[in-house]
Amino acid sequence: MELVFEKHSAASGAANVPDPGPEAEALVPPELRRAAPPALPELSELDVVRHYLALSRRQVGVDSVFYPLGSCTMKYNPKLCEEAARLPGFARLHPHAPDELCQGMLALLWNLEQRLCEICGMDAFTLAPMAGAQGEWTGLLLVRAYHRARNDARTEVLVPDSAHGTNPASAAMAGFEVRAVASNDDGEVDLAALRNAVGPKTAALMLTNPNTLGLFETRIKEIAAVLHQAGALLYYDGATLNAICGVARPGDMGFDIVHVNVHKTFATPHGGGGPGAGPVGVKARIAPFLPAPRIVREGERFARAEASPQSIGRVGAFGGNAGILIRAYAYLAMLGREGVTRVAQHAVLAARYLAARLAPDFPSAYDRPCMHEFVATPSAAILGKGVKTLDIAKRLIDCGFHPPTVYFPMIVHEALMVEPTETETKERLDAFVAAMHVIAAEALATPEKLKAAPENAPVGRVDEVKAARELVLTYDMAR
Amino acid sequence: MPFVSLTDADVEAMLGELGLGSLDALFAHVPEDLRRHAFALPPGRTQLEVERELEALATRNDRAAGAVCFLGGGAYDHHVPAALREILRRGELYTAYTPYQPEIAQGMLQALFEYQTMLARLAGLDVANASLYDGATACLEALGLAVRHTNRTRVVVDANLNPRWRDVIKTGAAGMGLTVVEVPGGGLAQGRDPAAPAAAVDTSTAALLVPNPDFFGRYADLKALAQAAHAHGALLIGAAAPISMAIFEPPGAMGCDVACGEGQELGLGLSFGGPYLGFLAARKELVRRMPGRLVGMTVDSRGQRAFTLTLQTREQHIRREKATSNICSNQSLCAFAAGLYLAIMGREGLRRCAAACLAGVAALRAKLAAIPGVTLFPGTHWREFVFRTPLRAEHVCELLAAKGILAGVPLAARFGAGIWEAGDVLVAVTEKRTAEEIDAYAAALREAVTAAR
Repeated sequence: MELVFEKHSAASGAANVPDPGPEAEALVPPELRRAAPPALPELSELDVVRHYLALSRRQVGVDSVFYPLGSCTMKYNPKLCEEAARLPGFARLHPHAPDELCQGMLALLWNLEQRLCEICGMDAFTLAPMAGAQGEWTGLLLVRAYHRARNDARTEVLVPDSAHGTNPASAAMAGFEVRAVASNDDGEVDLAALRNAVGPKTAALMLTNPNTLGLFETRIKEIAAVLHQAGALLYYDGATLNAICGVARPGDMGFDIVHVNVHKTFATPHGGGGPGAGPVGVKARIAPFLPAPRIVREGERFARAEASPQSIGRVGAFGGNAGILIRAYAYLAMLGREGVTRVAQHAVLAARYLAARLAPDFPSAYDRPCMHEFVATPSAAILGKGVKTLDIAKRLIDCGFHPPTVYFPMIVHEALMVEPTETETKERLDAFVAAMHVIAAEALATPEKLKAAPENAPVGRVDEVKAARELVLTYDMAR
Repeated sequence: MPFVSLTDADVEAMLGELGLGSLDALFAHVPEDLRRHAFALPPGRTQLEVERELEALATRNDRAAGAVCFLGGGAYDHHVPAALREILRRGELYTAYTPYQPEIAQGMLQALFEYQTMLARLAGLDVANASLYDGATACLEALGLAVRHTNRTRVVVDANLNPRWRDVIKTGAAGMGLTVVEVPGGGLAQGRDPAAPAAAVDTSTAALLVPNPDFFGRYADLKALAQAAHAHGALLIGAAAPISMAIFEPPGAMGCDVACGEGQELGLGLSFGGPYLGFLAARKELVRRMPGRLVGMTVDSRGQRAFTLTLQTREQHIRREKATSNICSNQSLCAFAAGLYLAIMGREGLRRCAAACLAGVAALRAKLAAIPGVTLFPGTHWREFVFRTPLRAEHVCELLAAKGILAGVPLAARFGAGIWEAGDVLVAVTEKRTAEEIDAYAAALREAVTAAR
């Protein structure tokens, strides 16, 4: 398809704003004036709309297909939440508007903080972080500030070898040395390895529960005790909160700091790679270090307060991705207490069911009950044909499904990580099983068919190696 | 039950297949004392009830959201074209994940590639990434890029950068091993002194970060600064405003190696501070040190043009603690919207928008200059400027708010001590502000100041 730069029509963008006349630009001193105008597209509004609609037809989302992308919680994004964020009272609200004039917004955010505290078992929340990884970074700066305030300069953060890449990257960005902790044969944190790794330099352990293999860390309380006895903190990566929301709480398990991904558990859309939001919750003893602004309630009035002197500072220009947080609030308001529990129950049921049904062709990497997602691998017979997980993923595209996450976690060879979420029907889960069964049969009989997949996508298999070797990052670099 | 799709019969059948008697049995391996049976949350409500509640909450903001907005300070009330809002409602786009499977994500990938191209052209640089969180974190990430490129850790920041952005740099500095040196960039009365930060650059400096326009709306020529930075082997980073680049010399042409900043003005609306868009553009040589997603052009198995995420070996999911940044989910849809905005506006639309801001500022300054007791400050102001009255700034803002005008940001009340005084108001004029609104502003201010004399 053509690029926007390859189309030409009678441009209509000028009709969008008033013409200030030629004298306006004369106000720019000659030495500050742009020599030549930027080469932006010149198109009619109709041609712009057709271009972007054509692009949208070359894209799939949860609204298009079943999207069982492990570790991403691709659930349905309710449309009332979209409408809510677009209400003029929210969408046209300037962040520097005085608190007295945005009481509705502040009340919503304050209430969202209270609900997240209850779901996670925490004492205070900040809504400022703008994504999960920024929540991690914020959380680790809190870890750092907490220890410093006790004159305890701890330098190491532990992460399991199965952890998401953001965990070690966030720890490094917060100034910590990263140390990996091995998993045991059951796919859980190896307690002996953990005890060996924990010491006076340990600032925190970052953990998801269920972990990235979709398995519940059954010895979580022992893990917490090991950390706490050593004076270290336990950090909860909320990537997998969908498995336990309304069932069990990180705070009760011994976690001191959590971040949640509202674009996973609380149904805000992923936007093709954000924007999301990554609120961070803490136990009371860590609350003084939270970033500004804090939302406070004084009777019936809400206000944004500067943070305490012990605060880590600000993590963004304003108070976070309010437009996304509105959606999360609307979702939680509709679900209510029974709905939140039902989310986890149905998410786990769907995953457990898929894991069992897929097992003959795609056995789970660990022979244990999974939570809301599971990691499978192609059977030895399939791998014996030279078929890779990537080939299976691409063939699934032809069958009308978005593939699961592939090659993660890194500790599982040829991993296929499947997370169906609670929002799909049994018929669709069964159709996915059927498609995977057909693909397994094809892998044995006609493996070349998988290697050539996808056939029915807008483009054939994309050459990612060429993209990295011959960098073309703009249209001008292509010419 | 909302937003679950399994019927009771489905649940029973699936549990039966698993040999389980109840939904609770799914959690049997979670220690019993960790399973909580009562959550203090409100009961679920219908869509209709929740819609009413949200409309009521939104209405409580109407005095601000419906006011005539002269607020700036990092977010601006620019027009959002209807075609942009319409296209952003496409579910294929906004309900997609990061495009890890390029064959079914060509729409988002191509749009981001087009955004990268437009942003780079606008900034006068070679490449742009596919978004960071906001202007503040874009500055922090730009400094990190310079540190990696130069193997130096000292960075010089012009203190006339947005104070919130300076706060974020301070928050991140220690963890990233940065030594931040803030230097004055010129007071209000004296006017901007773009050369001032040059003296602070030495051979241990990784980068010089300079806003253009600065927080007080003043534009400056950075070319001499670029020479000073480059003479010491440091990078010059320009924190810039994208719309202004339509008529002002862009960062690249002034000698900046990196341009970064806030893309909210490119069609994103206000939304109480987010989601916005951190942009980052740079010279080609720096691309392997850049943080964030990058979309590249390549071919598919049939030789057709195709797009994919690229240079992923910089990123956390491959490089883990050695990655150029921890960023994962970013602000893709905002970058998509910004590209769409630039396509809708086009060369002439953006030029008019930039020129209208300039004209609006000039018109309001002319009116305010005629009010006894109001002080203006020198400089080439594009979209924003500071004025001083003998009254407390927040009092002035309250008086105008009562007339339905959000007059600006009272600097001392909002940001504490700085180069400003208690009577200083930071006011922004976008293309949306009409001559009548500007007249009404001036009349209301004249009344407020005169009444106090």
